[in-house]
Amino acid sequence: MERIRRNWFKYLAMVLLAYVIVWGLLGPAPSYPVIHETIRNLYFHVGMWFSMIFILFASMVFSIRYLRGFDPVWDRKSLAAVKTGLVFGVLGLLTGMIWARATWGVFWTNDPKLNGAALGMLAYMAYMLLRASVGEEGRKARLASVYSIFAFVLFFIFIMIIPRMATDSLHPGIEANPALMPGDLAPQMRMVFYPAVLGWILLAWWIYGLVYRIDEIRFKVREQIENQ
Amino acid sequence: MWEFSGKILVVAIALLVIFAGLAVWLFYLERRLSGTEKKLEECIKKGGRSSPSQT
Repeated sequence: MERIRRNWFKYLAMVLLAYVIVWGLLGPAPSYPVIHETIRNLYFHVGMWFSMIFILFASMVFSIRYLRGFDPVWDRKSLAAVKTGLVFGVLGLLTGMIWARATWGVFWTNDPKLNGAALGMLAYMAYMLLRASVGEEGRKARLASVYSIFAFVLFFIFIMIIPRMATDSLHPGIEANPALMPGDLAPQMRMVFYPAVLGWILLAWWIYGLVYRIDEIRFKVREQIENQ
Repeated sequence: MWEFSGKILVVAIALLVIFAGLAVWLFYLERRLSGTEKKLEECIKKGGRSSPSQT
């Protein structure tokens, strides 16, 4: 019982994602012009991006908590969240590129939304480089935490604000958040899209927890060795 | 209600197998981590040496 209480969100994530795969790929979907059946990729591509934004937001919150009390645990939590966010970001980019190839004929094009997403990812890769370039642990944690807050704001500007300043984009979402506006999605797609977003977020949170625990073990082992 | 051809069915089955594999691997990793955390805590309590190879 204790195990179920502790792991409920992991089971839920798996059930939701299994439902998304089965019903999302085999269930009914409206046939839109140009994109046709590839609209089903929405459950994967957008879901992965939502989970990435959620986990990167968590990283920013952990960084703020670190800066409030300088407890290194929060910095390590922030690092684990960024690592997880990057994985989901890369998966989001890959599913987006596959979708672009099917609908626009190319994997990548000079589009403000696409370039903004790539720049946002680069901002977080710079976070990893920053951590690797500073030796002293306390200084590294302080610098990384400040940068993590800055990186999230930068990421938000790159994917939400700058693309909307552009006059035109192939990618939907210049006027508002795609798939979230009334009328953007057919009702039968909403029945899969919302569980998909929840499922991907729960999976990201699960993976984040594992990454953090692996990092904690490494940290404690290193600490033990240094104390010997 | 169900609208699919043979190809998409293969894709769905392949994705399901991948996700089932991922779920099994994540739960397995979780169990391994719990064991390692327990061992590490015992090591720390005893004040003994623990090395990455032991974990």
